[in-house]
Amino acid sequence: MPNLLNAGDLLAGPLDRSPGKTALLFQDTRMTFAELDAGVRRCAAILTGMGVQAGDRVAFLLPDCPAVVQSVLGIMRIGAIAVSVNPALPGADARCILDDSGASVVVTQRDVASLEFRGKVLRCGDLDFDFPQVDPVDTLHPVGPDDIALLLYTSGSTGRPKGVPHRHADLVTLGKPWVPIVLGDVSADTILCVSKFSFSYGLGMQLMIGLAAGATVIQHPGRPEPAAVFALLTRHRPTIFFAVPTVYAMLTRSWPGGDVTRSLRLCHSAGENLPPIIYQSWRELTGLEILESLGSTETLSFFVCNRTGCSRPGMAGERIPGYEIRLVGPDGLEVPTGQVGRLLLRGPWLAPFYWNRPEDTAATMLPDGWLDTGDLCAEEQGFYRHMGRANDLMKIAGQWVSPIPIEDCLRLHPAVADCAVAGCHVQGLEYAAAFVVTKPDTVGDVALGTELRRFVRDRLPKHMSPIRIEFLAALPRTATGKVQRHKLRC
Amino acid sequence: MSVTRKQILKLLVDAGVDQSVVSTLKPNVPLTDQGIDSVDFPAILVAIKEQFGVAIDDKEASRIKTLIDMEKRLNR
Repeated sequence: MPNLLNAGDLLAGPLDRSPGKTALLFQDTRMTFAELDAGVRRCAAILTGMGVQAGDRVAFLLPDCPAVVQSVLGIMRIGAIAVSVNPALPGADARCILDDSGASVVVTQRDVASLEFRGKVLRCGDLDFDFPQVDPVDTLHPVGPDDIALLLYTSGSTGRPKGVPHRHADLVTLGKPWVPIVLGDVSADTILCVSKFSFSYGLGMQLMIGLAAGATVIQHPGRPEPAAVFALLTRHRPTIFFAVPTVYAMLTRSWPGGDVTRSLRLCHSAGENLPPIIYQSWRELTGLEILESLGSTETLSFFVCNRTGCSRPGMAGERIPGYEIRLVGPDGLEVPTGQVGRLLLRGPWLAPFYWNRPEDTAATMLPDGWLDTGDLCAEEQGFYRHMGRANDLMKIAGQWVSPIPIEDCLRLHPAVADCAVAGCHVQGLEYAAAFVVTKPDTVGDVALGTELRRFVRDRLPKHMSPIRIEFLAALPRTATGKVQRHKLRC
Repeated sequence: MSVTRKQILKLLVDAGVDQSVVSTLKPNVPLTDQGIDSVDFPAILVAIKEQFGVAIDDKEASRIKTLIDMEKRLNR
């Protein structure tokens, strides 16, 4: 009988039902659930032989490949804590995470000398570990409901990444409230999630939602460039597609024509606001809605979601049952419908604290189980509109202004490929400044800047018009694609 | 440096002030009395810095009330 509390046993259900079914599609490899499980047990045995004990932190610094799934489950299986380190991070950032987490082992393919890591290294390839044969571990380490299984690091969209721990008990039940409502039964699906395994979206969708239900998961180790994504869609014909808005934007701009998405029954987006123009472009090209949802590394699961047949562009969706939401003003009182408030959340699966950050924990994990998400939202007829992060708000002419509506407006202009709005100070007062990436063959010059300012002024209240337009080759983004507006402030 | 009135008027349009406002500006009347408002002003200061390379500090900016004030400052 599986230990229902240990997240290392997430494959137990599909392993019982269909061990010969394809679990992973990785390049030219098809790995069954039985083969994947064997790799998990092998990893667990290797780590046990290396002296890893329950509660120890074991980092995984790997691209998306079968070995990363084996590593995460193997680590959790023996009661250790799996620490996610994005392989695309600069060395200094990776070093910070390894130090902060106190990892004693790192599972990786790369040379870690530059990381000055003083622990042990378990080297691996894409499919297996670079280690002699060992007897597999068949037993699960008993864990309690509050034991930590996973340590994720926030993407740092507003500052230094923070370690966010999650419990075994949360991982094994993740998806229960929102998956049946939004995705339905995914056990027969083939999933393509271009968000990487090192992040909560990628890890959640591929492992806890996909593999745990018996779905087949397509893995792509490289960057989600349009050509690569279209090739995966064509070759493997997935039925569900998960991606951040930036990827949807790139795909719509590089559309190859034909019926490349004909196998898809559902498209999902998270991680950042989905601009309405991108939703509409995708729908025109594919006939499919993009179901946007709102969640975070701290919440692990989605608490606000759009649903098939009633999705609304520009809206993050409706509250998922089981969660309580309050939108509060600066005075802590709930704001009326339609007004922007700071989103407080209470419900299951929330991170209990920040790792090594007691002050941030106290500021975010509030009394009575409420979590201050730092998100700003407005509620209209039961739908929540995400208005950005509280830290991204600008105080212009005495009014709090979100960058989101200004960015959505600029994106309507034919010359604009992407943009971000952040505060800039002139004479001690704050105004909006816009940072624009133009479409190919479009020059960003004074004339275009003037035109864009006028374009916004014709559509939004004057105080929201950017006083400055700067043209950039690219916007500063985190590894997950979130715009780092705080880096644009001036 | 030498900045002409024509260049300044073009800069005002580039900064987002309506052409109809710029065309009828009286040089000795306060700009704020002629349709240039609190959002235009910072945009103008930013444009001056970007186009002419002149950084006008807060104190100087508070003394620029008319078109002639602006010409004098830029041609100092």
